[in-house]
Amino acid sequence: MATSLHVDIVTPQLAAWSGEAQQVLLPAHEGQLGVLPDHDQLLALVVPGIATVYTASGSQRYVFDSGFAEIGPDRVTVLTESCIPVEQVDKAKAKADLAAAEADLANANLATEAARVALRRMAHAKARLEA
Amino acid sequence: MPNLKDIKTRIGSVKKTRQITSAMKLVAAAKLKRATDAATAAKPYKEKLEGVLRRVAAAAGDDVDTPLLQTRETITKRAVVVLSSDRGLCGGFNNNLLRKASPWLTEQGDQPAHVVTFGRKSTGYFAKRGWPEARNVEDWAKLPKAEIIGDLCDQLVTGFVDGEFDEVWVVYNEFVNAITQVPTFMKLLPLALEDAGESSAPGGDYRYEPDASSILGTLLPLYVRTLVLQAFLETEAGEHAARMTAMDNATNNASDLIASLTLDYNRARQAAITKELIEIVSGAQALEG
Repeated sequence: MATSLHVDIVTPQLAAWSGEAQQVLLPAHEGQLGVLPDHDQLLALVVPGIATVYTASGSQRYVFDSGFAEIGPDRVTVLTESCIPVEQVDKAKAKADLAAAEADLANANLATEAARVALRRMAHAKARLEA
Repeated sequence: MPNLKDIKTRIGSVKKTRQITSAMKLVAAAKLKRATDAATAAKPYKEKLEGVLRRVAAAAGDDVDTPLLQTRETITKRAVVVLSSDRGLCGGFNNNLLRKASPWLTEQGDQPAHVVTFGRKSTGYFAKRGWPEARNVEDWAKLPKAEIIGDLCDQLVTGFVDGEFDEVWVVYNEFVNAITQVPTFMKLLPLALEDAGESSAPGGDYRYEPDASSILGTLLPLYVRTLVLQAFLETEAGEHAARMTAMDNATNNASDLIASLTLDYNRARQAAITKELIEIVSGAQALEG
């Protein structure tokens, strides 16, 4: 019976955070996904959004880009393209990125990969603005 | 007979050059350390991603319908990304790569490839040879890597999926160790997942949310990014390693040059003293006689 979760948040550049947590709230493909200790083994897609890690000393919120989470009974490993603590989000840049992505989307044919990429970028920019 | 003063000036200037090269060597060594650290930091992500991809691909089985894995029958349009350094003084680092890349690009059929170059060195090289220029990025080492790689990969993946390119290649220097960098041509798209070793043991009984094939579809573009990131990191580490080696050689050469110039200087000095002595002695003899 696991009592805490070992959480690793890994980005291509570095291991963003690693430690013990009580609960993790992830922006998953099917909606917010809360993970408590003793969770079923699950491989979930992570979509751009805000994640919260609850530790014994408090909670920390991060903005994730797309990636995935590997969840086991006593550990959660999240791989995401970027992980920014909410305090460090550059709102001006997020706004510019959102505008650029919206412009890309307006020019793109909706059936193409270009549109999907633009949608993903838009979602990430929106998540940063909400943070 | 070289003039004493000339030799002395020359020694002074070679010494100054040696100071510069040895300082550059130290700087390159420090940067190499940082670059290899960055490469080490990037490793867990790549390994984890590869492991999960293999598992998801095995779970998805034949139910895979992602364009990133499909090889096209006729290949006419290629996109090639060339990674080089922005600054010179790093031995044959850029030249070895570009000299191999140029005939290779010509061999790849008659359709001119869509070339994206990174680094001033490759930009200049292709521009001089009249290559159709697509896009050049200079001073890439100063830009945030996550951003340039994100943009680049989105473009490549989009271009590939939407039929703009049939194949995507990355040409870069593979970092073997501090003294060896090997020019490498990596076929980025279509992805070859078999290379990652599909035979490895599946890790446990996982549920997938959503199903395995859609996870695969989302993860493959991320995998493309990690491959490109690795190529960038290796290029960066290779550049500093090559510069370190080149500057080490230059420093040694300068030391040798200084030693031989000092010898010349002392010889010339002695010759001058001997000449003066002979003049004095023969003058005295002439007076006696």
